Amino acid sequence: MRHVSRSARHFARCFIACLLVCSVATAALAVSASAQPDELLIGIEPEHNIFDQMERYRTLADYLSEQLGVKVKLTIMSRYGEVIKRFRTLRLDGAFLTSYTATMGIKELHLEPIASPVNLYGASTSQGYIFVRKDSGIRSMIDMKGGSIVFVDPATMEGYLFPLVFLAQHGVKNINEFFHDYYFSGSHASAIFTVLDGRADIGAAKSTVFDQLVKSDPSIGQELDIIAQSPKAPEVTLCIKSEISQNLRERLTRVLLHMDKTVAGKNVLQQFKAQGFVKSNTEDFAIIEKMAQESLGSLTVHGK
Amino acid sequence: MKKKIVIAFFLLFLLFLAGIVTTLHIINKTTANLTALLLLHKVEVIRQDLVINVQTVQSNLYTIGTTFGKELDIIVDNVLTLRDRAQTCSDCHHEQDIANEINNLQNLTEQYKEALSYFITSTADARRIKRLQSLAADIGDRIIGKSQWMAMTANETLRQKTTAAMEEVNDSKKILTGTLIFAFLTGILFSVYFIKSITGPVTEILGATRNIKSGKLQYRIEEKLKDEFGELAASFNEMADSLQEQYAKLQQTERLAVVGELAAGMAHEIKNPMAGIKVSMEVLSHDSPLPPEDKEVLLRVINEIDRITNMLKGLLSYARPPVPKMVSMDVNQILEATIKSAQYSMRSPKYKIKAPDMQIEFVTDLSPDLPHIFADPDQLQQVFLNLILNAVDAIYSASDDHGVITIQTCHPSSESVQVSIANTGRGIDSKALANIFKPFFTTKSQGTGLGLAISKRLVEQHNGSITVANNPGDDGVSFTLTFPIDKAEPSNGISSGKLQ
Repeated sequence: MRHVSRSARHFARCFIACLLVCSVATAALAVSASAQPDELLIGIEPEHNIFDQMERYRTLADYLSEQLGVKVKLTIMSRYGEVIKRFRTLRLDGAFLTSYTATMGIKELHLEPIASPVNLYGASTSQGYIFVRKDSGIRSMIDMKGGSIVFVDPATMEGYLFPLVFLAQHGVKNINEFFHDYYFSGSHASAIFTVLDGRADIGAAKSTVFDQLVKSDPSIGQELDIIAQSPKAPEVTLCIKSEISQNLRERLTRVLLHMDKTVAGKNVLQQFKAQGFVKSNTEDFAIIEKMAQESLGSLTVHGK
Repeated sequence: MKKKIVIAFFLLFLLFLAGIVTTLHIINKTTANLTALLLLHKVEVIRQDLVINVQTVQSNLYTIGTTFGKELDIIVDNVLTLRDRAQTCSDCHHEQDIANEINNLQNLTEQYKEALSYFITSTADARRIKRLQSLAADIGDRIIGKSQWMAMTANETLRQKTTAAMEEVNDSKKILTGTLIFAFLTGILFSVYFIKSITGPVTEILGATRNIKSGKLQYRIEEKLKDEFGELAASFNEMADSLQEQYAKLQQTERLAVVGELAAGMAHEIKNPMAGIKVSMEVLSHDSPLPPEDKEVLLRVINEIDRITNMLKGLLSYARPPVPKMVSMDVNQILEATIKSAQYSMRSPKYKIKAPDMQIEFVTDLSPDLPHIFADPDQLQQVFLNLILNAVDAIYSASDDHGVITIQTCHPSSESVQVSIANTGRGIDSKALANIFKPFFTTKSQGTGLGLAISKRLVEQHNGSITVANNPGDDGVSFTLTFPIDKAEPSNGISSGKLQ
């Protein structure tokens, strides 16, 4: 009888030990599962025509899904600054951000800049242009007064922050008073066409879009005058939130940086209209923060 | 016929091939028509999809930013689907004006995309935003209007093509039916032609064989049959000729057999009494004291008895010729020996009495390299002697003082040897020439009419032939004999036969 009770105790000890091992294994599996999400939701800002842009990015998303083994889904924003809000409400895992929103994301959401695409002209950066129609008669700040200006979006460096800094540097403290009318076109191309069509006297947009339009239609370059240029900043940067596992972030970075070295990657880059990707760092965005501090006092989304 | 059958089959093959090609062509054409109709129906489906997509996007356009509005990602998907639908139209081949309209539609779609993007991404006052919205909505309405116009055009084309396709299907049915009927009739035509071409001649040949079977050996196929049947008819006629000839020979042989039996019997029954009578006559003519003129009568009786005996011998020899003892022999030697015998015979009183001053010259032209023949020397000498003595008789009957007998041998071919015996007597009329080898036919007053008949029998017994012809200028006649050479004996070899 004593022998039996000793065996029962031994069996109970073994059973408890097994349970503990199983619990630890289950927990480890759960951690592992959280480190490798089933899906990555990546946001896109409306740089050009949002439909064409979405098509381009879908090609890249399909390639990344295949390479990472994680489904990469895309969602497009209707506004530049909207992406910061979407990180909070839609639980975005990352986004291709323009320099201004990237700077905000890094600062407010602790996003990590991963890589920036190099466009077909070999540039990964862009700068802001302020331009007028040649036949508008605007040659100086005095000529601008009382006119209309079209910005791109309050959350763009090239299309809003830079013109504000430029205007402030030239003594304009209140644009509502200085201009008769101002509004936001939503995209850089729209801003350029708005000035070309005469619906605004002054425009601001990013250099890459401006140069691309001039290349496709040289008459645009002949009709517009660039009167100011900003310092260069990363044009678009893929930023990933810090909750994403280090391993996945590294793999994502590696895949993007090596795309131009594989045949499949080159094909996708061709459709994405880029030569490749370069590594991005937080320091690349210091200039934006400085500009924002100078003109706005802090990084925030402005607009009418 | 074989050629005709091959050509007919080839023509039928071509006909059926043409039928198959026509059928395949019709099937392909009909299928192409149906495919075109299906495509046009598909166009209608595409158009409806396009309109639905535009209406969806228009709805998105008016509800964007409201509580009923869709998420931007859904709107983007809708617009891209709309663009894909518009691009589907370019996948097919169109006429230029339709292609232009489709290009316009696609351009409108691109403008719509641009306007929508502009409206969605713009941040401005309500008036400007409203204007952008109206701009996009106008383009959307234009797309719907254009797609409606295209639907009408497609429906009209669909109606026309359906009518045309149905007409083509009807035409195709007619062509197919016509081809089948034509092929069937041609097949029947060929069949009838070949049945007639084959059964007609076969019936004729069958009838001919039945005639021959019933004993009408003179029956010949007179109708000109065509192709292989013509050859068969000619062959049949040759067979009938041969059959008739063989039958005649058989009859002759049978007749000769009967004559032989008769002659043998007669010889046996008559020869002995004749011998007795002759002996008695000779005793009487030598021993009896009869006056000389009576004894002469007895001598004449004895001569007639000899003539009867000779005739019986000849008859027996003709009807039942002795079996030849064949040896390889030189014809020239036999002829030389025969000429000597004939010259000896010519010394007999029979010839001296007729023409005491007659001079008959023998001219020989014997080929020195004459091949040997395989023959009975005695029988051959009998034949030659008979011909030479006949020639002598002919000369005697034609002239009183001079005549020439020319004897020639030659080697006209590698297969035969030819002997010619010609005289300078009178020629023979054609009727006599035709019957000259028949038994009991003679032009001599004292002839039995068996000499030439026996000669012919003996020559034929040696697989040879004998012919007669008048010399040019009615200067006597020539007999020509032909014998096959002895192939077993070299042409320059020494004769193994011996003259007896």
